[in-house]
Amino acid sequence: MKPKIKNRINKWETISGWLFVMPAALLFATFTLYPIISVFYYSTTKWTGLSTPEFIGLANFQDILQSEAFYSIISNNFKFLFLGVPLWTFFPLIIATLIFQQVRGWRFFRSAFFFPTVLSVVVTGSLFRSLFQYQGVFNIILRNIGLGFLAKDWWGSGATAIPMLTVIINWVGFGSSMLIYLAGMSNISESVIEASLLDGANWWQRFRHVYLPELKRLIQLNVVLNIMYSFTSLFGYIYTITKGGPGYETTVIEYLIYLKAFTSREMGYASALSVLLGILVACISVIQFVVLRKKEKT
Amino acid sequence: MRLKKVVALFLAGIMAAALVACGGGSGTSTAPSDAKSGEPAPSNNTGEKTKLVVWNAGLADSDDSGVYAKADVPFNKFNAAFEKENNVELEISGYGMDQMSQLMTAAAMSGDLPDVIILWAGSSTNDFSEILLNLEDYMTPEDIEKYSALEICRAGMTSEGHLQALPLGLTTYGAYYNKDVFAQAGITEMPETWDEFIAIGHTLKDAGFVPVVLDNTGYSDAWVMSEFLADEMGAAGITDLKDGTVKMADEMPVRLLNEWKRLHDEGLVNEGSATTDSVVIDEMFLNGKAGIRFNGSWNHKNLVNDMGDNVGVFKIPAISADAPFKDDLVSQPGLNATVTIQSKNPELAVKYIQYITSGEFQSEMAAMAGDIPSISTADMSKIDNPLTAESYSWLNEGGDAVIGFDSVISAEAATEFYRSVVSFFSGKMTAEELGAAIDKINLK
Repeated sequence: MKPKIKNRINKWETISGWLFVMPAALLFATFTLYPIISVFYYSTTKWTGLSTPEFIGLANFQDILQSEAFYSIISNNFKFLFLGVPLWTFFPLIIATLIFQQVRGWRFFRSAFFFPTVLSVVVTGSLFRSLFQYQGVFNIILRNIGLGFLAKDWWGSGATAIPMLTVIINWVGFGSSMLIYLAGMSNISESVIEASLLDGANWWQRFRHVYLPELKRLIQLNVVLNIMYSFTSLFGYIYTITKGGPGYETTVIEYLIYLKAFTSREMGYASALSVLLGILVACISVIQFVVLRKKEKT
Repeated sequence: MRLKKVVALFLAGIMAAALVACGGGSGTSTAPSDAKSGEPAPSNNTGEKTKLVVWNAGLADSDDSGVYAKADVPFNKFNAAFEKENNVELEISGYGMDQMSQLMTAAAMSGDLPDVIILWAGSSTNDFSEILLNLEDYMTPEDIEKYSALEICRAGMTSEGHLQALPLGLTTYGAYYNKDVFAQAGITEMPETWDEFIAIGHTLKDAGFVPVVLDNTGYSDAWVMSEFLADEMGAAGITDLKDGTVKMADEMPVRLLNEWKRLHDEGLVNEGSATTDSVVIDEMFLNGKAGIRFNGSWNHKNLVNDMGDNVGVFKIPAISADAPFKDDLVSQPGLNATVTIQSKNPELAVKYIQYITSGEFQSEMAAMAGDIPSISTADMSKIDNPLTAESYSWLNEGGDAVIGFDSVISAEAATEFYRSVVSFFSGKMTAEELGAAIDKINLK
């Protein structure tokens, strides 16, 4: 091919490549990149959303970092992290293993366990909110079967509400993690499983020495996703179930951002909180990445 | 190759068009108008209907009791009549009050405010002063004089502020009681002081009833605290809370908070009240499990429909017999109607809010719901609800009308009170700490 023609084809390919990328790039720039950059700008301003933003430097960050409430609220996020991540990671793994081993009724359970995943957060949130109220169905059942002493105001304190929320989030979401694990398990060589059976490995030994090592990467992925989830995806549940209460006992940083932005109309402060949340999640991700790479190398 | 290029160009074209459409804005109320300067609304010579966008947070457009057909609910009936008389199309969206602040903030930022907003009176409205039209530029003094309780509808909630809203009735708060329960407990005298109220609570408890039911909203707490503060500060003094002349962490409000907490300390409220929804406590009250429920006049019709003559009401008792303003009563417009500065048709929008705050409209609303009209042209003979008649009589007892404390402090500080009062009752916060938390937000 003559160089001139080749150049022309290359040029057209470049142009058409750009044209193909442009729609997604424009969308990304308009609805993701621009807002992210704006948040950095607004975090250095005092702005109600109605007024003109007034530049105040790093005062918002200073206020946040000097506020006791911020540390108390971020500690709620860590409570979700420490309670939630093990549960959200290993519960679906155990269920997936049972289903993979085709326990009785596994087909039914596979569908049934996935079902809550398709429900909206508002539906599940409202359902569980009323179910576990002090006068709710759960406490009524406890009282009627003679276990009234166990009846509690489940949403009445962070000590009970946060574990309850963690369990509810697990109930809603473990179906999708279970499917991911099942997909991973289907890639395990049958000969490995058969060999373990021939060696007389019991259920726990197979789980410990066959499934866990084979699913290591998927487990790592789930841990990473769940850690991020505990900082960035709790809003729907908090909003529909506890509204961050009682007081601020179940308020997490996302919900605080919402309160500051739309209840207090402190857009600058809320933007600064968003920036700090972004930095926090980025730091955690980097630490995880480094730790996992080190482990892989060893 | 050619097909690929055509597809790419086509997609890029669609994308550009979509972005232009997103940014362009449309509808009736996107661009700020010259309304403040009093310029006339754009004329509509094409015969097309002018559209007014209305956001409604609180004015009933349906009747829960089923007595009124949808079209006969006063709000719907008057809207239909206004549309017909003025060749207008009303685009009405209903929202919860908890959403309204967020919506107004977001809409103001994007230049998408509606023409009219109906929302809670007091700080919920006043916090948005800068986006609300001065109604005095569009109304005659004679028209304005017809309304009562206008102070709360003025900028800064002072008589010097410009008029930024028109009131939609007067709300009173009361202690509603189940007559059967009171009869079974042998209670015949209604309490006039807080000590007497507490004593009645113990009588009800001893008779096996839940004396008082409270829900998780924090509103009942605010209503009772409003009455207590009114008893101590009076109509003129209550506004001292706004600028911090009197703080919630001061000795007097802290004492009142602790008095209110006696209900909890002495076991006179439903267990789990901090997280119980209002629908649950309504059921306890209606079914005769509980004796007293704090409520407001907007709910009179529902209460009478549900309980017939088995429900009665008495004034929230005075904090003490020697309180300086014990005869003053918290009564204020619960809702008001506003016009935003982004309205393209401010004159028409003002005409609309005058229409839905007219005497005729408020009389019909009073008959359907229970609030007392806040305009002199209302026909009070239409009010046949015994609960409304009772609370109307309170207004004529000589005490001054006082604005509720949660309408005086900033809306955000009020929200902090609703949210944190449950922590106070559960002992996780002292009255001083609750007061300080409210002050911190109110005075920032």
